[in-house]
Amino acid sequence: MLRFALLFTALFMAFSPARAQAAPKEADIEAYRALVALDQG
Amino acid sequence: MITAGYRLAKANAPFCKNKWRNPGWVLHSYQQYPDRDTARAAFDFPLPVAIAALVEGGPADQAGLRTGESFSDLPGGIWWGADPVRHKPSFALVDIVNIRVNALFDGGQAVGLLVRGKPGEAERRVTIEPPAICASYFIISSNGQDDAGADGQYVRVSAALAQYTPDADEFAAIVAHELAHNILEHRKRLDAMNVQRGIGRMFGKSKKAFLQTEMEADQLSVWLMVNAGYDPAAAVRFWQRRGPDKDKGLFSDGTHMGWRDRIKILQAEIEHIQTLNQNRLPHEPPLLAKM
Repeated sequence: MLRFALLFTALFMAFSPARAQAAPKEADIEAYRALVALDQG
Repeated sequence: MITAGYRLAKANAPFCKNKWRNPGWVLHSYQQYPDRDTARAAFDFPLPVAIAALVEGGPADQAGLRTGESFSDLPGGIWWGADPVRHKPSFALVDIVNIRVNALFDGGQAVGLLVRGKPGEAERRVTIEPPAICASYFIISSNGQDDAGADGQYVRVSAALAQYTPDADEFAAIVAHELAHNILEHRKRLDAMNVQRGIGRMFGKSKKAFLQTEMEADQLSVWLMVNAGYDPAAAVRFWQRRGPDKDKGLFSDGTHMGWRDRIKILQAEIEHIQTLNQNRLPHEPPLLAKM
């Protein structure tokens, strides 16, 4: 039973959308916007 | 970037052999950024390629286009799934759209474009009739380098180098130097000479050819700046700061002159320009009179 629980947890962690795809950070988003501001200049 | 590039290319159009009808925009795609999800979060991309920046008062701006908008009916169609270097930053889609749009404008007529904006907004058709100006696209690169370049079609300045310049005139000095390479068709000339681009560029005829093209680009750059209303002395100021910062001395690859010699060349051209009637712009650059 314990082995099954561990396996299930490991699988859940591996395929969790939150783990596979971290949300973009606000600082990175602002850095990209600053880059495009240079396109304008 | 597009503001400086467009201004230089438009003001010097009478002297350019190769011209494009330039709408005054910069396009971008989330595929060109190191992290595509961050790019999608930062910008509106109704389609994978959208307008990143517009020249204020330029043809696209006057036609009512806005940043973040895309084009949905380009001739020949676009396979938006095209992604030749998946997971690596790529300008491939932007390049395809630029080529398609250029082909549209080549006809010399007013062009109607179907424009797609934010989700929920109705598509609309705009008509645009841009003038022919010196041929070049202008882009900022985020390659982590501190450099600029020109390949015959694109003028590229890295974000780091753009941020190094303290004002619009010094930034224009960099853009003018790279635009000069394209106007003088240096890539084509160097290719015709079969110059070495690897380590071989540091020796013999390749080194001599690179040095010659760099000197010509410096000479022409200040003429382009004056014609566009920029202060040509900004090119000198740029090298007075940049030279000591980046002087590689004996470790230089020898394809560019030392910064002190570059300043002398720039000053000689500025003195030449100052002998001309400043009320009669634009001045024909001597290097372009030969083309």
